[in-house]
Amino acid sequence: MDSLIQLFQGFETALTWWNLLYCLAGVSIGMMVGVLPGLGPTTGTAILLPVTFSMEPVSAIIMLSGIYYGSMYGGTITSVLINTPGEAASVITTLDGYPLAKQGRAGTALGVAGIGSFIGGTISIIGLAFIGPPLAQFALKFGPPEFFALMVLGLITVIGLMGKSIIRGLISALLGLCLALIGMDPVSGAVRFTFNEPNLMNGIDFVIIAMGLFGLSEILIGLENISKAETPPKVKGLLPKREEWRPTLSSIGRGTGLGFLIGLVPGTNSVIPAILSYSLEKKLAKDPSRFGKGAIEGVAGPETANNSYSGAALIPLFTLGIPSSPTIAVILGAFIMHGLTPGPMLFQSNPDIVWAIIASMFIGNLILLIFNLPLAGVWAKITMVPAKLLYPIIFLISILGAYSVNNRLFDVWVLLAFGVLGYFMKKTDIPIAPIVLTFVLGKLLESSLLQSMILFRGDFSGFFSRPISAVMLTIAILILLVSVIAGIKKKKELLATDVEM
Amino acid sequence: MISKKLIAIFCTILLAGSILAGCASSESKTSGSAAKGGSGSESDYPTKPIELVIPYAAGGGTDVTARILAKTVSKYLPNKQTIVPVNKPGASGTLGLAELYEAKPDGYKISMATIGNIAIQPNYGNTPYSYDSFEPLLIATSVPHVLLVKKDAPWKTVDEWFEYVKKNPNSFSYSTPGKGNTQHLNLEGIALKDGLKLKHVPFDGAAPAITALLGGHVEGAVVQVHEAKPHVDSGTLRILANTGTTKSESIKDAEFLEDKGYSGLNAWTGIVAPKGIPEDVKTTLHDAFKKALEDPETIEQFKKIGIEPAYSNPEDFKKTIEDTNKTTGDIAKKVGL
Repeated sequence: MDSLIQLFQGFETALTWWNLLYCLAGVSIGMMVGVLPGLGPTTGTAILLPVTFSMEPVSAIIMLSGIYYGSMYGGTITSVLINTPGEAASVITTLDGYPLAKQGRAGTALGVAGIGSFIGGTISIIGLAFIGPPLAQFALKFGPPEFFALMVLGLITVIGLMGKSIIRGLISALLGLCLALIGMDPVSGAVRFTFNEPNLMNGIDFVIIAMGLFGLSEILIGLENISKAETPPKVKGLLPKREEWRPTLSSIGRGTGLGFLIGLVPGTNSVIPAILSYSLEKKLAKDPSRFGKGAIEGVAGPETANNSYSGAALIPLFTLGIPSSPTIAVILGAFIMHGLTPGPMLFQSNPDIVWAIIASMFIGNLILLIFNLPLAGVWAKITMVPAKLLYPIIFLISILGAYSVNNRLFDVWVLLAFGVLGYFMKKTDIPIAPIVLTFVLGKLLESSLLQSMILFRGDFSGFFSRPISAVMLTIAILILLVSVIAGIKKKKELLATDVEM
Repeated sequence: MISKKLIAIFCTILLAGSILAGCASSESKTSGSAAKGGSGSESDYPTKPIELVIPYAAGGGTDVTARILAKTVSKYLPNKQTIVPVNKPGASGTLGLAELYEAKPDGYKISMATIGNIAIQPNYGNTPYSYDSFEPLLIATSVPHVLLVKKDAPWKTVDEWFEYVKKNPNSFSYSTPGKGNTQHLNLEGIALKDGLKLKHVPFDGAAPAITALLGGHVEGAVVQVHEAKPHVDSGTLRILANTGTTKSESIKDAEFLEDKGYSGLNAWTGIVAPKGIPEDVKTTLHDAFKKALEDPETIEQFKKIGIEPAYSNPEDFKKTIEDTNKTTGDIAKKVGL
């Protein structure tokens, strides 16, 4: 009850016209950096951080966190419309969002993403306000061994998404794992596959790989048919069809829960809940074959999950002072610079500020919903632009985006290389999604395994001496055994029904 | 229809603006080269914005330091020229420095340098430059590292801890922001003196390293003072010792290991220019940054993020780089890196 009263007092502060303005500015900038490929929320917040020095602490943090959660909304737009993820978390959205756009249902995809984002974002903030602290303490139990187990579980569940041909899926998945090995391994310090190229020391950036494989390759494929006068489909409505409402809402519900839980674990990133949500939705769907061809749940689930993640990821910051992502680290910096110490004492020592920030996030999410729903129809009209005009623009934006990630030309070449690779993969029917999945999970899998091995002094049974990792690894082994047995029993049917993502 | 018109107007303004901006910068470029053509000893440097390379990601400690300085320094530059910070992260901060290494020594491109990317990394042989490839301008900040433990850790003092690790080799596990970096070499250097054996668990950055300690997955962590401060203030973690080379105002009570005869490492951040910049340009830059460092506004903002300005002149800076490069190289060799 106490918290509820404080929350209302928070709304009083957040609703002053001055703070409303900063909230609006924050979420608008967030939308923008989300839309622009390559430019992410970390850069957005970091560049604006010095500007906030002279501002009131509340206003400063309201604006910076607005950029943070606003970017999750913006990333969807380019994913759906031009198959180029504007932000890492939206990579998965391209899988079904873009096919929807091709069918003239871009408005629906954006509308559902907006609604899902709003629900996921709002519920996770409620979680942050009322049940955050005890949950965050539990999340601290996730050390390297538990992280390793979580990644194994993640990899096991995505194997089901490999596509028609297990062989082709494996090619793609293993390629992703190999790409994850490039660069210096932070645990062992070993430098791998860099061929003495210093630009490869840190490995390849995920956003650039995704922009190349998904966006650029799409342009290359499209160029083949550019002379065929293809009238773009008319844009139809913003809302799903009546029979789609139920599955959409349940995937939004599942996405909220999944995103929230993963957001609690420090060290995860917003791509993971999106990936897991997509594979969960595909597993649970009555007809998994629709996925990849414009299944509305494939947009609703992941988009909700990454927004729910972004709210929950603030819990470790507010309650323990731990930044779980680079963007949150910038927000932590803003807290400290304005004389606030995030951590167990924050809610006691500065309740007025904390609750005002939480209140502003409810308002910000509402603003974003208003931004997104009516405007979804306007955005969606972009798909009506003829290809010969649209492709050069996308190409230009992609190149600028790739450059702006690290401000270096090398990344542009990487983008082009992955664009060509994506083209040939599409031509040879090798699914692209597994590369992305194994790339994201592989890095974390490897470093957490190495860290665990140091802690256990090389004794692998250590994983089963810790309850959380033991349970997760056992579940993973069970899933694997069941699938293998089921696979042997009805080998042919299974392979035929499992469809490309 | 109205919205279409609006968009058209907006685009036109944008386009016009960018063209104007483009003209302006090309204008200043030409005048800049014209100035350089003149052989007068009194140059009018700087005539255009100066690029400050930040070899680390936006939002990190070096980035914030650089941006705070960049904001104030323009006040003290002739012609009130601005400093434009550009992040060129990657490869432990060596990519950005490698770019400076190839830059023209005209004073229009300078870079942030830290103990990590200028003194330690060249030891590992993956950088095109060596520790003495640059013209050091000044050290701006210097922060000690600390050895952190959990609030309820069994060691009340650092002597108790020394006793414990002596009796239990390879048992005390500690996290750092990465293998072979400053924090790792710092504690290993201290351990070498008494031949202690520790269990090092590297993470990717200071935040995950601290998180692992909070969760009790490791028994200690070595990070910079200001990274530890919030957790120490809130009472979840405790500073066992200051493992740096200077005492810090913010942790007056911490035991200082140099007093006990151990040699530590500070995380210092400075500014370097390409070798061979004209002497007057070097003086202009040095003086402006020194004044910016003494500006009350800078001090205030540094204080807020928990760091103190720590000026060293070009000669001292040069010597610090040299010495650190040698000592850390020795430690790295001894621990087998």
